Amino acid sequence: MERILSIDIGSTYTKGALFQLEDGTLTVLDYAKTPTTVAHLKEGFDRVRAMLDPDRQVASIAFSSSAKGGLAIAAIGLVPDLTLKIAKLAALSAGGKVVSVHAYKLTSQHLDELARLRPEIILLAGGTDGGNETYVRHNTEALRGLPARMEGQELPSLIYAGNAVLQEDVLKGLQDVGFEVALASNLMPQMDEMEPDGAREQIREVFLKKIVHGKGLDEIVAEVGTDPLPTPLAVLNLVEAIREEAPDFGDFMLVDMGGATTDVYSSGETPEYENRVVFRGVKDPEVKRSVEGDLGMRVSARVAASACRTSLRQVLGAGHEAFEAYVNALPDHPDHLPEPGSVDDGHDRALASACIHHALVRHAGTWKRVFTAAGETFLQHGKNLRGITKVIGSGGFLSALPDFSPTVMAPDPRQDTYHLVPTRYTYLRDRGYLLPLLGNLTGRWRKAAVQAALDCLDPMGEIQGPDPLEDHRGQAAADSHMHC
Amino acid sequence: MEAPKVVLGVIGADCHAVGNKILDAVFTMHGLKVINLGVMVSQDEFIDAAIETNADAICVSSLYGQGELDCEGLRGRCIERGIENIVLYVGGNLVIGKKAFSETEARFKEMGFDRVFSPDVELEKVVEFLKADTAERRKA
Repeated sequence: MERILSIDIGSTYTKGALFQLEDGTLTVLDYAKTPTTVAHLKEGFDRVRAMLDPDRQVASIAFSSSAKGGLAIAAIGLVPDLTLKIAKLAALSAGGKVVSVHAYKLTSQHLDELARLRPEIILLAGGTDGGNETYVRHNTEALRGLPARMEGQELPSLIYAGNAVLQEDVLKGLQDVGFEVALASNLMPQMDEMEPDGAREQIREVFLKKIVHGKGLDEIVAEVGTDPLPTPLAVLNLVEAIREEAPDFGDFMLVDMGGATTDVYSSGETPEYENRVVFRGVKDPEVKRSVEGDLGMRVSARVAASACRTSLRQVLGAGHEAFEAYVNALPDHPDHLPEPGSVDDGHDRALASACIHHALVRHAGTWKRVFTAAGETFLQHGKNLRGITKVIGSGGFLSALPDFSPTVMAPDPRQDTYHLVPTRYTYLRDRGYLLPLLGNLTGRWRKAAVQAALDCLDPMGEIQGPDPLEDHRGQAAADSHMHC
Repeated sequence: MEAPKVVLGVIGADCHAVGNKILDAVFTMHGLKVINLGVMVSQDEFIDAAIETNADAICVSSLYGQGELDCEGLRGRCIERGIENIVLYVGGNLVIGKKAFSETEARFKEMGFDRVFSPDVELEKVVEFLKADTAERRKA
């Protein structure tokens, strides 16, 4: 029998759980949380550790940190729909936070923006291997002017993941002016071929170097002997582990909602083998993460409610004015927790439903209806998640709502574009908010962590939403034979 | 010298896939580097691919008679997006109705295409043109 401690240093709370591992099965012995001590993270960490393991007898400790909401990354690509899009996906799938994006040639305004935002990483991409060189050359030259604009402040780490032909030139050109440069494999070595893993690995390295130093994280590392994971990467690792170790669980999505942002993860996609669908653009990865910076339960409540206004009015009817008053007050009271069953509690649930709905819509791909000489056809961009039958809710708010399952909102009224979101699914709640903590354990105790994650999911209800594509189905079957 | 790089695809709401596959096979067989985007390709998708891969030429196919509508403005878009010197070819059933091919050819050349091909062109001939035109472009 072994005991394992997992701790996550979140932006608001530091949470931890003590697990027991016996015969390959993890069980939770105890759970603790305390407000995160932003100035010195080790204080909160030690407090949680003392609550769970007062005598310091547990040797196996894994931990994660979402300090400052993750590494701030500026993504520079060439074409917005190609290398820049892949650069954004790579940054997100490494657990980072994308603070600015730039396509084509960097201008002096872009450089001013970079100097002002001071990202921790600049991810520079562009061109297939052996492909375009002009833009990366130009942008390398432009970035050589960044140190002067930053007036002695610490320079961003530079990761180059573009046309491999230029690696040496970029390395030399930017090292000369003081950048720390890491080379990664090209994000798009060939047209429509995507390879984010090299860049992801380099981002992880920078995370360890930059985030760990300062604020007490390095002291934790010295004491427990392991490196932290960025919290979103811990969750992503868990999603990947579930996909590999529990294939029977099937494709699924996970919504991790906080006060400021909503993270969405999807595992797999269900392609529909119809002649009438033509795929266009860059393919999303099998396990994909997206982050919605304007959808959240407190700090972002006002923005979220306005992004979802049409859907919310349909759901709330006459109650929407009271709801809006409530939501407008929230950003000033990020600690507000309504009484269960109160009017405010109802408002929180409506807001949560709206955030989930919009986060799923933005994560999923689309079908655009096009009429061709051979009849109606759909152009697909992004992932088709219509066949997903499980959506997991996690994060402080969703884990704390015991009898909640999301209200289905009306689909986007635009006629010719269909969002490929799940329409029939089981909503599962991460009842103890354990998923990030189990994500920390997927490195060493993979199978056990997956099993424990599946065990802590409570099915809350079957969701069935309107399906505007359904009508097309019968018709599609009737004349699916298309001569092309 | 590096092989000429050609972006290939069927433009607009046109899903004729067979000719596209034949072009890909023949071009590749003759030593061209093909970036095949398949069917239902928009103007910007052709240009996106040409920029990222630093292609020498874009070869547009159109089989369903709407080619004139779909191709209008492609050269202008190339200029706007910085690949003004790219070699532009178009071929297929470009217009509906009985029009002399010379008329069609003139119309598409006016739109900025360097060469225009009828459906019965010998593909080896197209390859020869491509090799010559792209070599010329690289010298420029």
